[in-house]
Amino acid sequence: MARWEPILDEVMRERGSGLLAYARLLTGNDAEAEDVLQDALVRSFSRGRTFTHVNAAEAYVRRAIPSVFIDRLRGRRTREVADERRAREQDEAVSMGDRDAVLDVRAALASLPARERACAVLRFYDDLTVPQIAAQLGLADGTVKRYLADASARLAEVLGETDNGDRIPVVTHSRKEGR
Amino acid sequence: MNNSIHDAMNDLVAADAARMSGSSFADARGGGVARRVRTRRTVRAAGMGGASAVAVGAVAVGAMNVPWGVLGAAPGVGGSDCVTTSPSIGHIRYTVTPTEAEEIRATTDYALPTASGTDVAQWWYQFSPETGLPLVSVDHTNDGTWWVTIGSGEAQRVEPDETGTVTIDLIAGRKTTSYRLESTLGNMSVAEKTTIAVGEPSPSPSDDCYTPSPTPSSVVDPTPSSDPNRSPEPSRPVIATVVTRPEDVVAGTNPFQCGFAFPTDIAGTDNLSIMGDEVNAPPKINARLAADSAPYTSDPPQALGAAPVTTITVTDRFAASIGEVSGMGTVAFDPTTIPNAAQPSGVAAVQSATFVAVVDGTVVGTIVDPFSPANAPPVLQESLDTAFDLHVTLLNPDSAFTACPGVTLGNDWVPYVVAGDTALDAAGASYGPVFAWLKYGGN
Repeated sequence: MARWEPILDEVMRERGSGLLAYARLLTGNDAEAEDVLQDALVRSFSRGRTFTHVNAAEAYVRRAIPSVFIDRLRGRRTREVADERRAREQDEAVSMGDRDAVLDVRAALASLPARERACAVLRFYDDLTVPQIAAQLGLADGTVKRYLADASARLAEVLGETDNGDRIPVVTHSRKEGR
Repeated sequence: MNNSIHDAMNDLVAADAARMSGSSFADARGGGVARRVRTRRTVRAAGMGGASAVAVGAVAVGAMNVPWGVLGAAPGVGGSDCVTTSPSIGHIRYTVTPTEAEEIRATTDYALPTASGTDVAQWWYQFSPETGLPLVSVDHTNDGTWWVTIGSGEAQRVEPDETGTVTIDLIAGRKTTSYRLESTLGNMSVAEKTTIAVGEPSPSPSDDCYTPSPTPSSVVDPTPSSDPNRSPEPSRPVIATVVTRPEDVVAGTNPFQCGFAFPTDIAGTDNLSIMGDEVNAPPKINARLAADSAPYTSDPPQALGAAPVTTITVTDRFAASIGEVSGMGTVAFDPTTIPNAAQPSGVAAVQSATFVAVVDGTVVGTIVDPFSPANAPPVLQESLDTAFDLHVTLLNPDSAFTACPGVTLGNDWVPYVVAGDTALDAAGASYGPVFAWLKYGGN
């Protein structure tokens, strides 16, 4: 057995639930989250690197997940969009057991278009800056800002937190803007 | 509010993590994941990875004529294209023909040939979508003999050159890639890979292009002939121009920027290259537009006619030390963005691809935002199934470019596709930037 195989198995078994949950944050449904994680694992382990610890491998896989998600969007066919719609309907069953706050966020994220959702997750969950999001997703800074502005407005609307009517700021001052 | 959203998302992830099972995922998907990883890693180790991965998804082998005779079209190998070969000992030349990348996307995951073993070193190139077999394979057996197999045809013996190596030229459109293979038993590797760009598109294959002439037919070697490891190549007709190394570009400028002067029409490196361009019919472009979830509300002008599509392939030989590269993006390339893109580990990379307008070899116009306006973006970008392959299409060249300062865009410009790649490793060492570009025939 190659040296990477035990690490791969460990990542899937021990960190799989967390990675799946993270992927699900982006995809909005379980089935696509599994597909995204599968592709992210292949991408991360195929590059010839040697992972010496499951933590390092998990970090790479986690970082690959948003990229894989966006890549899949770019190649998405109309049929798959319909599948996503169906999956979203199935998703409602999952949400039955959520606490109210979790339910709200799940519903708010589900209301976002996929690209906006990806930007929102990277911004608000991963705390990345606009340039970092742009670099990771392969989008222009301006595009990310637009997505974040729209997502912020939508999230505020769904979550009922208007922040005095203002949109959620998309750039924090604690991080450098390099572009 | 940001904190509340962050906390709520954390709660959401925690709730889903408690509900989802990594073991179930591993049981259901682990085998498939491991198989795909195993295939890709083995391919890389055998020389298909790194720069060789450029071939994947970009070229396919057509009918073959070889020094020892005419093999004809091998079963399962598409096309009926011509091949010119060199009778030079240890140096074989094949012509490969670019095909539509979509049709060969899946080739990266085909099963590996089983002939390889401890007593046979093997190298192969590309896989047939139909048969899953390598389109070209080279074996070095324990009795010291070398064998070349085209498609599913019979293996043909070939003598190595005086250095004990075998070189194979693979020609795809305007690009010729030479692989010099060396072998110790059980391990064959690419000792040298050189890529030559041809100034003009290669002529279309013709039925009579095979010339069983004893005169060696080859291409200009981009490296000095003083290299003792190179096989002698007498009487070489000049059909190629030497590629200027993109690393030699004047510091402070790059092909994404106004005023950059392209020294050649095409350039690339082992780590970053642009493979050919293909003209796609309107239905295909429209299908791609439909597939993209961007809210296109107006048809780009190119949807009314043929649109050029360029396949860009990025490979990363530094992956083992640098780490994950997230893939190509159609964004303005700026190496200074790397520090901001760095992850906690310090690993970061920026890869970009876009188009520029060029007059007399100099950039006179750029695309400010390839995805704006959202309802009629100038660039359609598609990632391919292979991790670092990307299609980029210039949808509306007439209005895509913003003139550089002091320049008025007329009708005499031509589009170039440009790509850049740079990275930092965990130790803070930088790699690149390297660049690749390709000139279209006209706008």
